[in-house]
Order: sequence, then C-alpha cells, then structure tokens
Amino acid sequence: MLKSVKARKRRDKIFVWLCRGVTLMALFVLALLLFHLIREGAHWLSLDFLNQFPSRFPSKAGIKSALFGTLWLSLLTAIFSFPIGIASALYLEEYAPKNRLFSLIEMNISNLAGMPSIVYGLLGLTVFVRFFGLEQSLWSGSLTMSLLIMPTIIIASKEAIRAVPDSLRLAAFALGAKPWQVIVGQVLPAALPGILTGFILSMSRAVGESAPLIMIGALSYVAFLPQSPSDPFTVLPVQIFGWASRPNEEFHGLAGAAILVLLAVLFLMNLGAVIVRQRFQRYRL
Amino acid sequence: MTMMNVDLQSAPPVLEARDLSVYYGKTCAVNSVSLNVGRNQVTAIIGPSGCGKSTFLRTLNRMNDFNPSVRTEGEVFCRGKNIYASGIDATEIRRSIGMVFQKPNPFPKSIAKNILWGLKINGMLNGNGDEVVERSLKQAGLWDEVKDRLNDSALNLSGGQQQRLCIARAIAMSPSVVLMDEPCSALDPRSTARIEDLINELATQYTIVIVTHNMQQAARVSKETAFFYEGKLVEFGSTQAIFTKPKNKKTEEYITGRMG
Repeated sequence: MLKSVKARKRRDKIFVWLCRGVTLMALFVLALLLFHLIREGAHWLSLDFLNQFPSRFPSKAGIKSALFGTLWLSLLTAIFSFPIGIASALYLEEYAPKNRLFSLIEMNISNLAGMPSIVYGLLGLTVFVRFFGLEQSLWSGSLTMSLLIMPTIIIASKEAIRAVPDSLRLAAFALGAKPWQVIVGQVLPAALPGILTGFILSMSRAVGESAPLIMIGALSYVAFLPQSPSDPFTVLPVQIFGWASRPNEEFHGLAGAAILVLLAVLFLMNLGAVIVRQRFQRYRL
Repeated sequence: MTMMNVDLQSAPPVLEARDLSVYYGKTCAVNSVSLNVGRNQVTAIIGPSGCGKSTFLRTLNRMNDFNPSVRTEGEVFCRGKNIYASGIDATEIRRSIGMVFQKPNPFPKSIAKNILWGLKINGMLNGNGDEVVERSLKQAGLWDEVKDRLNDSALNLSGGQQQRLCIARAIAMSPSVVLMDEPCSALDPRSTARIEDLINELATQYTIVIVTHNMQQAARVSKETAFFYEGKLVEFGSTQAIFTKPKNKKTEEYITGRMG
C-alpha cells in the first residue's frame, strides 16, 4: 500500500519535470532565435532605419514604407474584419437555428481557420486583384487579410458569446427586454473581453503574414508612402522576405533588424490585448 | 373564520390562470391548473421537486417561451388581459410582471446600472434615475449597505445582497406582480431571513408569487398557499388553513413530512 503511494508520487514528480523540460525547450528555441536575431540585426537598428525607404545600398536602407504599409494594412483589415466577424458570431450563436445546415456552416468556418494562408492569397489574386480590378493595392491586401483572419475572429467571438451564462439573458428578458436589447445591452458587453482578445490575436497573425501578400503581388521595394488605400504597398514581413532572399550578407542583417521591429510591434499588440482585457473585465462574471 | 377565508378571495385577483396546461414535448408538466393570485399579498406555491411549480410560475410571465419544446394551453389573465392571446407581445408582459430567479443573477455592471437597465431599455427612465435607484434599493433593504458604492460592480456584493439587488431591479419597474422562483435556495439562513422579512414588507405594495420547496418559508411569508403535486393543483387556500387543516390527504402527507 505504502509502496504504491510512493511509486505514484515518484511518477507525479517525473511528469512535472517532463512538463518543465518541454516548456524550457520551447523557451530555449525562442531565446536562441532572439539571440541570433539580435547578434545579426541589432547594429542595423537606428532611427534612420525606421525613417528611410528601402535602398539597394544597405547602409541607406530602412523600413519606413514597410512600417507604414503594415499600419495601413492592419487598420483597414481591422475595419473590414471586426464588425463582420462579430456580427457573424452573434448571428450564429444567438439567432441561427440549430440545424444541420448551420452545423455544416460552422464546421466549414473551423476548416477555413486552418486553411494555408497561401490559398487566401490565390483567392485574393483572383477575386480582388483581377476580378474587381483592385490591382496590387492596399484594398486587395486588406480584403485578403480580412478573409484570412475572419474565421479565427468568428470562432473566438462565438466561444466568448457562448460563455455568457444564460441566467444573464433570462434576467434581461425578465425585465421586458427585446432580443436585440439583450444582445447589445448584456451579451455583447459580457463577451467583449473574450472577443477583443481573439480579435487582437488574429490581428497579430495578419501583421505577421507574408505569403498571401506576396501572392497578390505586394512589392518588397516601395520607395514611397501609400497616400490612399488604392496605392501599392509593402509590409514588414514582405520586406523581410525580400531582404532575406538577397545574397548580400548585409541585407540579411537588415532582415534581422526588421524582424526585431516586427517582434516589437507584435509584442505591443499582445500587450494591448492584455490591457484591453483587464480594462473590460472590471465587472467580471 | 379561517374556513371562510379558504373559499373567499380576500382581494381581487391580479393574475388568473384558467385551465393552464404545460407540456414538455409529450410530458405534461402542469395539468389544467386554475388559480387566482390576489392583489398585494404573497401567494406561495409549494410541492415536491418536479411537481411543476416552477414551470407554472414561468408561464405567468411567459418565460417558458424560450424553451422551444414547451407548449402551453389555457389562459392567464393579468388584470383582465389574456397574456396568451394572439397578438400579445411577451416583452410587454414581462415589463409588468417581474421575476426573481433561484440563483442571484445581477448584471455584470454597476449597482446603479443594474437598477436602471430595465427602465432605460423600455424608455421608462425620466431624468438621471438617482431617485429610482434610491427608492428601489431602500424598498429592497439594501440602500444603507451600498449607498456609498453605487458605481461598484454588483458582482462584488455577497450572495444575499445580490439577491436583494435583483429584487430591487425587479421592483424598479413598478411591476403589477413579482414572481419569485425559490429566491432563497442559494442563500445562507441569515440572508434567507432578510429576504423573507423583505418579502413581508413588499407585500403591502406588491403582488408576489413565490415558489418554494421550503414549507416553513411558505408558512412564514405567504397569505395563501397552493400545493402542487404531479403537475396538478391539489389544494389552494389560506396558508393558515393549508398548514393547520388541510382538506386533501396528499397535502397533509406533504406538510407533515410523510411525503416529498
């Protein structure tokens, strides 16, 4: 009896150490990557690097156009994907009948979330660039990105909405609220922290993607700032891809520096997610 | 004197259920119940678990509408108007028939907003609502405990306070009837006693229907009691008569603890 307890405790310890080891391994790889990036790229980082357009001379090259392109793209993507994503999630959770058609639709949304991004690039190329004639503009890029992240937004929002307890809906209905008032006045505010977290995480995916944008023809050498959504553009990941695929060692350093900037942007976005979440959770359920 | 009261309605009815039956699919949960709820008094509904008392209560403000498998037959008159007649908006009904649930369910908003939300969405709010907040909280016996933190989250209150807030939220709408579905079942004895006192106080101004499976509670707070068993209304009369001289054998078995 005593022996089996001891054996179980030992196995418990082994399991804990196994978990620790795996976590440390993941962190180690991340640290290695960061270390490598800093060694390669850090000395390229400067205000000029942020403030210069790309150039064929490494010392004069910067990421101004890519940084602004990333800002434009994320802004437009947010405008397209956020309202549509939330509205779809609300419809699917609160209004849609529970039947086969809708379970099929929901299953497909989950499937879409796992679709390789290059496929969205092809879709964007066919539909937005060619069919609607939007060319290689920010319109095409942000619409493609919206399609890419919409399934994730819908799924995260659906989960957040489903987590709102029914007792809250009943309390609202018992006061004579109409269904839309229950949704807008109670369900949505209660689900908002979860929705926003999912949204910001999706946005950081959009900011980090390059494949679909390369597919629709975003350029890696853009020596001007976009003035409107119909202008061509580049973004950080595409710029990084462009520099990294050059033979010149110095451009690899530039790519490393740009990656550090991109990581900083992503870090700030995720920090934003945490802050937003805490702010809205003042009235926690 | 008690015998007289059993048969005579002491007050004109505010709610009248006539031949009311409720089915969950094919199962009959409430079987042709007719019951009058008198004005400005507490009517208790008692009975063992599964006797249909909560289902019956929810028919009174059409809260069963949200369950698609529920079918309701019969009529419920609120101040002479059949709330199951075609063309009646269930939303309107719920505006004037408030409800307090088993588990306290305040909105995840501030205390003041909890009180005002119902008025706001129904366009019944005049001014900034400070008065309604104070009056409702005072009536619910919560004012002194929360008057300095009306903008704090309602979720920081204790369970008993939350339930009193839910009562305040219901009476802020000046309802004709307040339905209470085992409002103390999730509360400790001290909070329960506070709510019971509160129900007694409110009965002077409000019509209250309370479902409870705590017989002593029914005896303490209500003027009239209805005993439900297996979906049927077995006996209905003054609480005193039900508890001292039940006419029906089932009622007697239940209140003496031999059944249920």
